[in-house]
Amino acid sequence: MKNSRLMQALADGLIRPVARCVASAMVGSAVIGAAVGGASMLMASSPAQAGMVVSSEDELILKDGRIIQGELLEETETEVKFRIVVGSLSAIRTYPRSEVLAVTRGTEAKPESAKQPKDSMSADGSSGGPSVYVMELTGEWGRDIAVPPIRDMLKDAQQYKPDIVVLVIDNFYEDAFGNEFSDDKLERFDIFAVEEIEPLFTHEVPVEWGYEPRWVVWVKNAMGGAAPLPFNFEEIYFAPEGRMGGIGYLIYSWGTMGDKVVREKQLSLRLGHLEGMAIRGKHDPMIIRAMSEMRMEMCYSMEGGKAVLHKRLPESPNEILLTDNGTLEEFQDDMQARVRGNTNDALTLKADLAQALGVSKGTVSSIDELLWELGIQREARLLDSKSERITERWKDSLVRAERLMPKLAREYQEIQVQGDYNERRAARSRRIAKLEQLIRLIRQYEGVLNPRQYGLPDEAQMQVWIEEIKQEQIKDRR
Amino acid sequence: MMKRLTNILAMAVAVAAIAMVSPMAYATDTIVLADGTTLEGEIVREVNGAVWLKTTVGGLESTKFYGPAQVKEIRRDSGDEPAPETPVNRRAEAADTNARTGGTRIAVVTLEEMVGTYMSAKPLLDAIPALEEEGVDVVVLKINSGGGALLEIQRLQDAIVTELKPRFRVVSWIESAISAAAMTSHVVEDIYFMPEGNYGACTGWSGQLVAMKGRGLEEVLYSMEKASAEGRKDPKIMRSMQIDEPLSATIDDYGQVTWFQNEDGDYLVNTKGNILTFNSVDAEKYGFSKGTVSTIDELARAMGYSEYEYVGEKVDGLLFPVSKAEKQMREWREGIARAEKRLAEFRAKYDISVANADGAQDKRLRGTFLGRATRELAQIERIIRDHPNLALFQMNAMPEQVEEWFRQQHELLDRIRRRD
Repeated sequence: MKNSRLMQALADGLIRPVARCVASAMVGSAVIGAAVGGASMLMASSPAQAGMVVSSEDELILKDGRIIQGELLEETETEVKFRIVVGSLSAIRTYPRSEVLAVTRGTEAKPESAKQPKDSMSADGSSGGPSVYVMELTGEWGRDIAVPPIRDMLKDAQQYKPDIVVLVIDNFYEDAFGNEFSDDKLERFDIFAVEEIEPLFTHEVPVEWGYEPRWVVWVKNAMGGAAPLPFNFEEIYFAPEGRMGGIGYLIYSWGTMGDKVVREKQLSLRLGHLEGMAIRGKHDPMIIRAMSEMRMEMCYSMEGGKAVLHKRLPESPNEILLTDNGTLEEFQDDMQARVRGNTNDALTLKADLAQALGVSKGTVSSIDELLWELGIQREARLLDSKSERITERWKDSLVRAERLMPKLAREYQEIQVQGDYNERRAARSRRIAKLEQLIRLIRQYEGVLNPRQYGLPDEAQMQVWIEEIKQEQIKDRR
Repeated sequence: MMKRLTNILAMAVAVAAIAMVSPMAYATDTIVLADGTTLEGEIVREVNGAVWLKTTVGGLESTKFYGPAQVKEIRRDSGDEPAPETPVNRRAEAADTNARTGGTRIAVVTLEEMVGTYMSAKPLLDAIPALEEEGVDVVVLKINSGGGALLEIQRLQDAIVTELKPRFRVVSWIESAISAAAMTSHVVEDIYFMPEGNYGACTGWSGQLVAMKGRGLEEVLYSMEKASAEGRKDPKIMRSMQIDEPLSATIDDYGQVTWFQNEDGDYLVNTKGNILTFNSVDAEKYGFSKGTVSTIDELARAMGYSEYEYVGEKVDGLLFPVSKAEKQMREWREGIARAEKRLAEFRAKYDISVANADGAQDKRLRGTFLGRATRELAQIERIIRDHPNLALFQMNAMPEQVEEWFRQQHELLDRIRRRD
């Protein structure tokens, strides 16, 4: 199972992150012969990476025309075992002989280090199975789960060079008194909330780490702003009580403001972004659309053990309704359904449904169970993740910042510019210092703390205040 | 109506002209498929009954794989000798007339962020000498923008159509092209998507979500009809991206897509009342995009190149090498970001300095504030000179109005300076 996603991506020719890694390893203008397939790009790696790259390759040609390059490990009458090497990462995959058209062997020797498979050696030098970093994204989306702590978690993970990163998503979805929202609570949601966080995983990691780990998402609660994030990844598992949704309010985001056609435009571009995330994770974009577009009618039927989605209401008894047009009065969920969590105005995925629709690969109640589902429960090495501590530290610092911001504002107001010249000058300096402290806080918690919540202006206005104080000082006379 | 008919005829002639180009490469091998289809080209590789056939259409090379079960018969140009099992390139074996390192030279140029400021015609035009200097054949416009100002669309389209296209093959590679960004890209014939790509939502609006109406709207619709013709796209597609008109399509057995500005086609692409944004799957399904690719090498192959070279230097963290033109483009965006921030700051400081100079009774003190105001005004002028579009977006004025404002400010400072 190890690195199967990468292998699949390679086998499918979907090697964008790898290409990034390779691109960053290329010096100047590398000429790349494409006739031998995407994996040939690996050969353009710089000498700096030569120790990790196979200098000559065996070639596996599949019957569908795909050409995979790497190292032939074993050939039997029924299967071919092949190591795919990408930058600093290798992965082993066994192909049924029936899928293989031919195997050709490379001739040049491989560097010693390239012969050392990564999967048999951990980052700390110990041998063993795949290394697994568990990253807990817990708390309020956009506040506790925000760009700065996630960056810190990713840095923590990066040092281990994990084979697998398990993203545990469990965002709070509750009111100010800690009462959990029901499934039909349609949170005010905007796509931009997730668009800040998603690129950290999908864009920054492959670049910063030099490879893409196998991402596994475990959904405990991905509601509201968190709902689109799992769609970016192919391997999603649910907790038994897991939920994903709560974004059907999108259609009402602009109320009755302006013209309907412009509101439709706003909706359309957001749906385009959301669908793009689903497509990136190889999920049917109709599912995320049903989650976020309350007007959408969708049902499904099971055909050959697989769910087939239909963009309409059911037309036969074996078709199961997912969502009706919740904007029409006759279809709106009634109180009975809403209280019992049986709503269908907008789609909320729960464990069983997510699995039935193929979004979830399984339902697990613990990390051990998840590793078992991944087939690595015996050999997997759980890394010492600091993600929980990072989140706690971030939450604490946020609380401190929230206290500090109004305190600084109050102190700024309390500084009276009076007395003799030196006292006035000192008072102005103290006022400037308070404003500069506030600006530092605003920058540090940008996007998380809003100064306007505390009756403060934005940074630009504070800069103007500082300038005014400086010019007042110029005007002042002894 | 006649104009649109002319456009359609022109497109038909152009398509016919391309179709008339023989799909021959450097040798003519023929394979007959199991379904009776006959294909001509150059067999560049054969393994266990499977063949890779290279064809050239309209100057574009592409190599396709046909499995043993698909191939019924092979007729070779050079007798019965099969192609080797390792890939060959007869073109490379022939005398290479290309004085460069070989292959098609491709440069990726990014168009990002707000149209009108960050994504604008000026840096694109400024990039042309660098592209020529680096011997670029193909310019990939990698687009990631949520849209912006309507007025910049025509400038960008003109830059692409009249300056870039005559010099280079131009393709778009879409990460996100919303509104003005999609309208810009629409003049490009060959559009490729990234898997997460999206394209559309081109409704013009202003203020509190107020839609363009009347003559203004009609002019934009007409402008995009012309852009559609330039980019060889059915104008109905863009129309459904602009206004809430339905769009449906029918795909025949040959993959030919026929569009309808109603819901009568086999596939409902946009329901009446909605605005269209394509995702990568639908864009490819309906032939709007030429393909969905994640990497520059997939892109090169999708464009039909087997020998190619991406121009530029490696930069950590980027999907593609950075050419000189792309470097300029990045510097432009960085400059805009700095300028935006500085402009607001200088304007605020300038206002304070002028007010203090105006109110100062003491001549020396007045001189101090005047000095500050003069320096700040000079900074504002420099920023607007380097980034003229900021006049509109930050000062809410057309360039000529800003010129007038500068003149008035100099007069004001002179008046204050001359005061006893």
